[in-house]
Amino acid sequence: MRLEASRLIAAPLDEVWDSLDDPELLARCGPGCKSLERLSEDEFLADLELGVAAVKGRYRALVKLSDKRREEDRCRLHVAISGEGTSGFVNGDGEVFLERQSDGTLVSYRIEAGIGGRLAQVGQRLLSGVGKLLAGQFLAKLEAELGSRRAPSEPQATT
Amino acid sequence: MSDRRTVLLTVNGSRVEREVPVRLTLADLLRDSLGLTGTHLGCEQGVCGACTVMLDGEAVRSCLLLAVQAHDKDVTTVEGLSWGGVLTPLQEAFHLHHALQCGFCTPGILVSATAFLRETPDPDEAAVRDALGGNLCRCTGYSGIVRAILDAAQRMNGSTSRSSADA
Amino acid sequence: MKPPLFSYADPESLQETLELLAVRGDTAKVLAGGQSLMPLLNFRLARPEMIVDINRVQELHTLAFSDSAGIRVGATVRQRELERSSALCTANPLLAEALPLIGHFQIRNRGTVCGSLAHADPASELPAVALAVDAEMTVVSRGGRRIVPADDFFVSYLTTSLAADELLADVSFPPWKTQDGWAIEELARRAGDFALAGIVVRLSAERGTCAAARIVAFGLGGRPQRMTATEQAMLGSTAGEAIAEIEQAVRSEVESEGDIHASAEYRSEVAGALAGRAVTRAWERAIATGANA
Repeated sequence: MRLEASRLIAAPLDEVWDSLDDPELLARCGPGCKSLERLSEDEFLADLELGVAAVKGRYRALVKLSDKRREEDRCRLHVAISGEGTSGFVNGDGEVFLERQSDGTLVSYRIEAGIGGRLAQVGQRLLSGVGKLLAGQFLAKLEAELGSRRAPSEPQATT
Repeated sequence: MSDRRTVLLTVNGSRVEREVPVRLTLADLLRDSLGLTGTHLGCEQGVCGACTVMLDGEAVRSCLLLAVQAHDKDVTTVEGLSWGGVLTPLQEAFHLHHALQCGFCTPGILVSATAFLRETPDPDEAAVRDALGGNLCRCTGYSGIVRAILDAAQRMNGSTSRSSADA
Repeated sequence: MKPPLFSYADPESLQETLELLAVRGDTAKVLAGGQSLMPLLNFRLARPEMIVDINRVQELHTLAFSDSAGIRVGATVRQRELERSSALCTANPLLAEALPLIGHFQIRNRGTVCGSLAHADPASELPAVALAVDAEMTVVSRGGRRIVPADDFFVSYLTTSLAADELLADVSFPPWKTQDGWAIEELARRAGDFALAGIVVRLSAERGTCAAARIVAFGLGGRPQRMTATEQAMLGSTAGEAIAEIEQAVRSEVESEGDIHASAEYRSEVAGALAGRAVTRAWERAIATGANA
């Protein structure tokens, strides 16, 4: 299943890029992310409760970031996720792009995701929509977190 | 609010009392606790119809009911469709028209068809096919089942058959 | 598979129900018809700590038809009960046409109208009908009650605006205008399967031209979608006019998700085609009422 979308978030590129290095921040943003433990520079172990409404599956997932490229106005990285849990398995492999805009950062992702097991069997027709929903929730929370970090006395770089 | 409850219900005309875990489904009560294994489990999500029984006269999925929800109610399973070993017109028609092969879907279809014919005693073929939509059969291709139901309706009514297929 | 462990309550009053939800709502699930919840429990995809069975709460079993107030359907009213009501055809012909499309009769014998709305499966017919007729949901909790219009009630996949301690007590379908045309169309590979795409149309005409239109697409995204741009474009049109344009408009306006059953493009295309059929039938009915010849 392919998850592909773009979203403009109202936060500067540098902050968004740096947030990828902050497991506590990422854990707070990830929908259903109970904990995120850093194993090495680019490897994390996530305890996830993924789902919507009453339907949730608990997964332990290994998240690996790689091929990080940082330029002045654009960044990209490769993310690989592989997890297993009560309702089956979940994995993902893809790219995330960040692009500086005048009013924030355009975050685009193109991820091939695989979900297997009971959840996928029964919920197949809802998966890609829910996947996009969760990704959207993650970005919205990231935006809110980064926004609230900016101390009120600091001049806003944009808007 | 404990994890077990006593249920008192009527099954195929007999009063039954059991103490059950609250999470036990009606299907499992019937099969495991009462030994009425005519009710089959195909999907446990309400799609296949193999578990269909009658609850207070209505055809329902026993896999989607908790046993505790059947308290004070009247349940009829396939075993309760006939009395004293005498087949109902519907069951006879199933026999005549080769409407079953492996028999797995048959109890659910017999119960559903019985409920359907009570409500629609003189259906046409389209109505029968529509009514069968909630029961999956992997063996027969449904033709014999449709013929059987139409034939049974005819026998019970004494009306002329409206089926395009020969009875 | 079998349901996981949970504790079970079957209150007999609304007050008791709301007390339970106020205290345990976060980890409890309400059980009405069970046709959506029980599969989740059987597969252990949902693991609520408590099940609150509302089937014994008499106050929730009201079903009232009124010329002035429309139809009020309480939380424990079965889909079949409404379907079989002799008053339904005239009270709301759109509901009368939609109900038999839901699953199979065995499902409708237990499934409830409010349960389907609260479960908010994107492929369900009832949320789309509720949106097409501007139904209102009565949401209650220990703290009070609020009326929620359909458009605000449905949020996304399996998600409504109900809070953890709230219960959908009833839904009100407004009085039907007898001159209105209506239609519901859906595509599923087998009758009773979840719809790949569906369209609900309600049409008001005055002197042969469209004065108001409601087109709701379902089964395509997280919630029923109003095709507002297409609705606007239809104003002033006459029966049979610009059907191809309506189909194209819906195809472009609708937001579809793909899965193994059908791609997004296919669903959007089907939605367009269904819209053409639904609008055509809605016009036929509007004209047949004689008010718009």
